[in-house]
Amino acid sequence: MTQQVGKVEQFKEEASRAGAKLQELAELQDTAPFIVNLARQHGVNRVVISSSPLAELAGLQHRLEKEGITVTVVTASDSEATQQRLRQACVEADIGISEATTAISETGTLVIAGDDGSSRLVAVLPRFHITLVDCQNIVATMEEAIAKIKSVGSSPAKCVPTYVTYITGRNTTADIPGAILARAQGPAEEHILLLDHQRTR
Amino acid sequence: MPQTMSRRVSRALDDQSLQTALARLMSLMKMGRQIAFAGVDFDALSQEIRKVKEKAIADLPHLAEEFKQKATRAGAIVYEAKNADDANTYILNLAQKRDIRHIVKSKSMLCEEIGLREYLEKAGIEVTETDIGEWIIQLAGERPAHLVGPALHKTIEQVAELFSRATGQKLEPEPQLLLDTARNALRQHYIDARMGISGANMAIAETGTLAIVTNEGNGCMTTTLPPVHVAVVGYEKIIPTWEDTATILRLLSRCTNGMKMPIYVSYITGPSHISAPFGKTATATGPAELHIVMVDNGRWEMWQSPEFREALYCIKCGACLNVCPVFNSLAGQTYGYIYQGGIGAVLTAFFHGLDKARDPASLCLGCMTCKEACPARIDIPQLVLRLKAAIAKKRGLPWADRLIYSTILKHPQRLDAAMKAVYYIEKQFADPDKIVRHLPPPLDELTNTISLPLLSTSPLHQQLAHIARPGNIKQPKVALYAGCIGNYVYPETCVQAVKVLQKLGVDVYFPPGQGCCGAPAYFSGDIATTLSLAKTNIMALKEDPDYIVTLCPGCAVMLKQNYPLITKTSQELNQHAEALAAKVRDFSQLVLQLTPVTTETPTKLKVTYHDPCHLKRGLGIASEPRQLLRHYGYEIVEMADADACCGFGGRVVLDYPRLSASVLKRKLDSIEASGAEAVVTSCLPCVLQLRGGLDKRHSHIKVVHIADLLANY
Repeated sequence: MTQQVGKVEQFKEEASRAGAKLQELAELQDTAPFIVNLARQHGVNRVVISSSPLAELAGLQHRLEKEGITVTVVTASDSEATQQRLRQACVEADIGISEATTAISETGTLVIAGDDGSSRLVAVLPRFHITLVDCQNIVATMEEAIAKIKSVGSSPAKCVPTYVTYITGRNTTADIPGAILARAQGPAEEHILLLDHQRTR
Repeated sequence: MPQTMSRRVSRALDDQSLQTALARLMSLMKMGRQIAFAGVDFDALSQEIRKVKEKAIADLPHLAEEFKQKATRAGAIVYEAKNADDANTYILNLAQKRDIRHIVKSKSMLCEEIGLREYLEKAGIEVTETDIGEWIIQLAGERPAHLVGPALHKTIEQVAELFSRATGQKLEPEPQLLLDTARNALRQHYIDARMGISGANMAIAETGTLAIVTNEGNGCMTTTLPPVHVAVVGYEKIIPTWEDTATILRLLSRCTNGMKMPIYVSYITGPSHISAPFGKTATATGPAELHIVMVDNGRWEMWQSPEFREALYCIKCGACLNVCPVFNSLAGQTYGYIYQGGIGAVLTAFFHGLDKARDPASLCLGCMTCKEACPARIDIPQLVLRLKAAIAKKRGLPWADRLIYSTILKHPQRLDAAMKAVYYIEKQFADPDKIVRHLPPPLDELTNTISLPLLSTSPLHQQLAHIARPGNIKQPKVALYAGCIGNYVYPETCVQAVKVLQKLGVDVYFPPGQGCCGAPAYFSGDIATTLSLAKTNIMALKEDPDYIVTLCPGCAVMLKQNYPLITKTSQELNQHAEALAAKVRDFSQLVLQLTPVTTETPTKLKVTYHDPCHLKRGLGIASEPRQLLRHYGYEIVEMADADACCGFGGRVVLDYPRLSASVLKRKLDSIEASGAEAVVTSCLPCVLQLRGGLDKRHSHIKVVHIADLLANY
């Protein structure tokens, strides 16, 4: 238990050093208000959610819609029309919400795995990206994260999920002469919501 | 001397906006590196990467097969391309078959190597670079100037103009506005494009997975939004396991741009899972088709070469460029090819042809800074020397070099005569203080950079003829090896060194018959002359001294490290070379060994110490001279980058005097900023360069070889 606390603390330190904004939430129920607040603060309204257990547990779709926010939940779908619509939703969204499969404390890295490309679009296209992290899922090293990724598996043809994305902090660029600027081509803000289940219970 | 390269060197040095941007980036990166490497055990982590790459490359044929199988099973289509043309044709055919007119592309050195974008554009396909820096370069129709900042030589006004033209709106030179414009323009390209092309930083054999590193997020979009993803991958990128990517990621970004981790790492295994039946395009949110084009283009030839296989360990992080004094003066466009710096010359030889590598290789100072910075611990300077030897062997040396090395340098007596001639020429132009400040054209290039010392009228071997043999009384016996600069330029310093050693009670003698150490020939790839000189010196020094002492670390590295290497073909000679090597000591190292060390309170001059490349990185000696200075009561004020090259190394000072001057300038700036009254060093060629440079600046700071300092104690 104390070991896990150490990992969480190191994760917070490294991720915030890399430019992510961290928020510890006491209750899963606090997730929706946080997102609503962020949306109101910036006057934005369109949210895409990569479907995930935590998002469902928090009842995010329902609770956000109740606050007048337009929500698209991105899930796997066989229909071509649906896929096009989801892709378009990702392109147009202001806020993207993902759940981290695991997170790495040594580097402050979020690991987001998925078999559909949407998991990556949600993470990269919108202006704000919010990642839900279950503190129990934080591991110490990249090697431990890889063990988790390998255990998730995929189809019989693949031993690992099709897409695994590491995100460490906020994207910046120095390519425009004379300045180092935040938000290269990804989100302007990288928010991490830490959920401590154990404590919540 | 390579003419066109000289012109390119001058162009880069004359480009003020490039020079300003390079200086700014250099200091930023230095700060970044200090933060990123704080508390990091670079030795241990780089050793791990070395192990991963050694294993991967040793087993490459198997791993390539495994990668191909696993990637295919995951649904990717793997194509193995022999060369650039093969890869380009495959990708163009694919685009044409799918009726694709618009492609987005993320940064990839390999794509540059094979000229993919130009090839597709020629066929009428619109290709957009999605890294913002690369996009600027594409719009300008140029080549990237720097690995980290491809467009660093561009001013904000130039970028505003390029973006205005690309978007059809008049844009002010406002950084934030320009970034927003680029982001929005590129967004539309991702959405419109039907194919995304990327490279890969790593290819994982056990699962057939690609790992792609980006910081802007463009890699994620390039490989996800378009319905077809083509990854172009060099075989050397294959590693056995996912865990190996962790090992590499721990240093990759730290080395590239001083970040602890890249912002984004995308692992891709096969095409998007939820996809339409194979062959049909564009339905899933990820690409329905993934093509992996494995490129040989000289890699397997390199793999088969025992001399150059090590170059395949390169993870393309750019650490060697970030620390390279030459690269920091010139940036990337000067090299003429995709891969830059020392490792770039070697890669160019295999990917583009041996002849094309001659000019890039000639830019190497041999300062070994890259070797220390390489996270895969590649001995880049040694590879460059092997490359030069291979070029000289295949193409021969330029006639002037051949003449000088084989007819003069090789024979100590002839060198003596030649140096006498040089003295008489120099004398006509020397000032009364025996310094040559101006030579007539075409030699004026040399004296524009540094003031030259007038050669001595009596070389060291004449001055020390009286101690040609050991006295057989005192111990230990120490043979002095002078080297050319000691023999002809600064014999008086060597005489002082003899006095210091005699005072310490050793039996110093100067074995006759010694010649040049062979470094100039070795740096030009002339192994025959080097070997001949190795034999001459081995003969001269085999009188059985306990130590062989030198005042020139460049000579010391030749005697200690390179003679054993180049004599490998003859067992007998090699044994002699090894025996000789074991006795070689740097002057300061030997003096410290013989001196009972106490630390006196500083009473004398405030000095700064310049670390010679071959002493610090070649022989690992950095603390010894400092200890000596403190012992003798000098206060050391460290300059910034005390171990940065002075610019004298390799043949750069002769072939590209202006480049040497640019490297020297940074050194002299640090010396002057240190506030020291004198700069002490432990290398005669460094003394020549620093003294000559400070004289040009009319500086009052003295340059002293440590032997001179200790003799006057």
